[in-house]
Amino acid sequence: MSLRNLVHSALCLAVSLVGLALIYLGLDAEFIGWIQILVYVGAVSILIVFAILLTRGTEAPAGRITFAPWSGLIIAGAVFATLAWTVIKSKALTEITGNPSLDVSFVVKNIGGKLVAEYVLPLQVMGLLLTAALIGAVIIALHERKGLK
Amino acid sequence: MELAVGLLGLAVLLADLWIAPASRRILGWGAAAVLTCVLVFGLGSLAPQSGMGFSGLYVVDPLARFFKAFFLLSGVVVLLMTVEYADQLAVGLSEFFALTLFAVTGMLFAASANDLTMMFVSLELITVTFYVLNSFQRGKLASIEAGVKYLILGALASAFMVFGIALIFGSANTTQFSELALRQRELSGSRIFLTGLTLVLVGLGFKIAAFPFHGWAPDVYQGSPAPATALLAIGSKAAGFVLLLRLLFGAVPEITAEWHRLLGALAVLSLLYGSLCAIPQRSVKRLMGYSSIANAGYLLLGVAVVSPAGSVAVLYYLGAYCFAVLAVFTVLCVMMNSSDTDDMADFAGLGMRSPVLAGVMTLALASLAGVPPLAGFIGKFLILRAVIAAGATHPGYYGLAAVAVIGAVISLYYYFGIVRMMYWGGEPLERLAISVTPGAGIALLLCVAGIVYLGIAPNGLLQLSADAVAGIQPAAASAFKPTGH
Repeated sequence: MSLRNLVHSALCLAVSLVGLALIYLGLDAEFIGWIQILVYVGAVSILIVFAILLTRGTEAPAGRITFAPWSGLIIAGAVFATLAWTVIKSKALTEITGNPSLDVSFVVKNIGGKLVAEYVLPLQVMGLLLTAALIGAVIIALHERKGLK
Repeated sequence: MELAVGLLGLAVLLADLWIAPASRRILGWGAAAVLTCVLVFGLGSLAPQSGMGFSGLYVVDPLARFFKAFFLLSGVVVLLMTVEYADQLAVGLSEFFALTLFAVTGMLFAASANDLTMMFVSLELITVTFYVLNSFQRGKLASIEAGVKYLILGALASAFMVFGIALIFGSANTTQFSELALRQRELSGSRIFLTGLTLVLVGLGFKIAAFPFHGWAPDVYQGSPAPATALLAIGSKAAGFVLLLRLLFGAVPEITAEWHRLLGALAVLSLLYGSLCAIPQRSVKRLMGYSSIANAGYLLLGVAVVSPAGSVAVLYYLGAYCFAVLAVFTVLCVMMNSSDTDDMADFAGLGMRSPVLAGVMTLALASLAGVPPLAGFIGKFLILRAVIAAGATHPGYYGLAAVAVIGAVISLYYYFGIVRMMYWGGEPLERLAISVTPGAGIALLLCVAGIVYLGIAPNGLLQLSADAVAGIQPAAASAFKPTGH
């Protein structure tokens, strides 16, 4: 909220997504980490920037945007405190690491194999879902244009 | 079978390119006809065998078949209804058909889901199509409101469900219902697992519009286009219930037996809330929204008794509910063609204006209210019987039965409010008789036949429901009867 220009905000989002990807990589979740960079940082944020540029959102709004750093800081602090408290207090952490059955190396090859072998049906349904969502998005956008002109 | 329906959806989209906008209704007819064929032939070829496929993700058993037939039937009627409603949709009629078909595909998948992944993916297919279907009438503020509300709350419910699934997988290291069933005894001690299960139930509760997760129902029902509302009221709810039954009784029956109080409480709250809030409603669609919450209460009551009899009653109730709701919404579609609102005042004098429509509406509402000898009565009766039978082991169930009876009496009042309006509501605004197109005519005929037939000769469906339940709750299910704790 502190940045007036939407494009800057979008780029900041990309930076924070890179941070998230680094956390994933730090947790040894290589696949999801790189996917995060490829898909979110690479594609989604570019898409957001394009969407902003193509619509007329680039010019900064004239009015004053509410800028309340203190409430933001307090909320962020509260979230951090809650998370830290749960992580420190959590017994689940030891419970899961103590569970030997979870000791499977989730490498990319495994994920790919699972996706096209065991979980092929959900994958297909996801494809249909995305088709439906795409059609829906087009329909709703089309309606809007017809309504305006 | 899902493949056929999904392909049909795509075919409708393609065919749209060649067909003139004026004659797109024909697509609806075609889709309905093909869906009927799928219903007849698909079920015929599927009938004898049961089994699992796709490494246990997908199951075909009597329960799945029961619900597949159910979804296909409601799909056919909704398509016919859409043909009737076509004038109200500004653009994208064929896309509406296609999306309806996609939603039905999702429901068919849901009926066969035997895995949390599959469950989530099929539910998402249903929900995402409904995001679009609900906001289809972009010109209307109410429709956009419905779409946005459903989108935000639906996304929230999905988030709950994914989180729950993650917790379940984290503690059980499997997402398959049958494997969960084998390990439920050790898992029932794990707090992470129970939390995950609760979160998944929250997600399903959203789908069936049960009490604490019902907030979206009235607004969305009111704002959405009538065919979308009908599909939402029936398909989405039934999909939620088939998954609920599979998860609760197929995967974790022992935990379910422990949770009967929670389920009973949810049932009672939904029932009372839905019934009481329905009383002052003026918009028929909004009233149906509240009545849908109340009906979710009845259905949950059938789940809460944790017995095969209860589940059979749930299935039967859904069958009866399906026909009645479809009839109500078809009449609404026909009505809205001429008046564009669903206010109760429009129903004034319908009895004089077009006695047939008024008759069908009365029949459907009477069935919903549970007047003998219609289908709804048998459904309510079965649920009450199951609840009272369970009362023998746990006296708390008598209380539930009492609440159910109170709810039924209240529902009699608000359903018959519409009936009174139709016959004794004063002069109609216009005297013109409302014309019924063949499509709506077929749909109405189907619904009326269903309501009356299921009421007079309930044995056929009862047998089917019993077979369906036997698959997930064998006769030995009495071992899982609730014991007070």
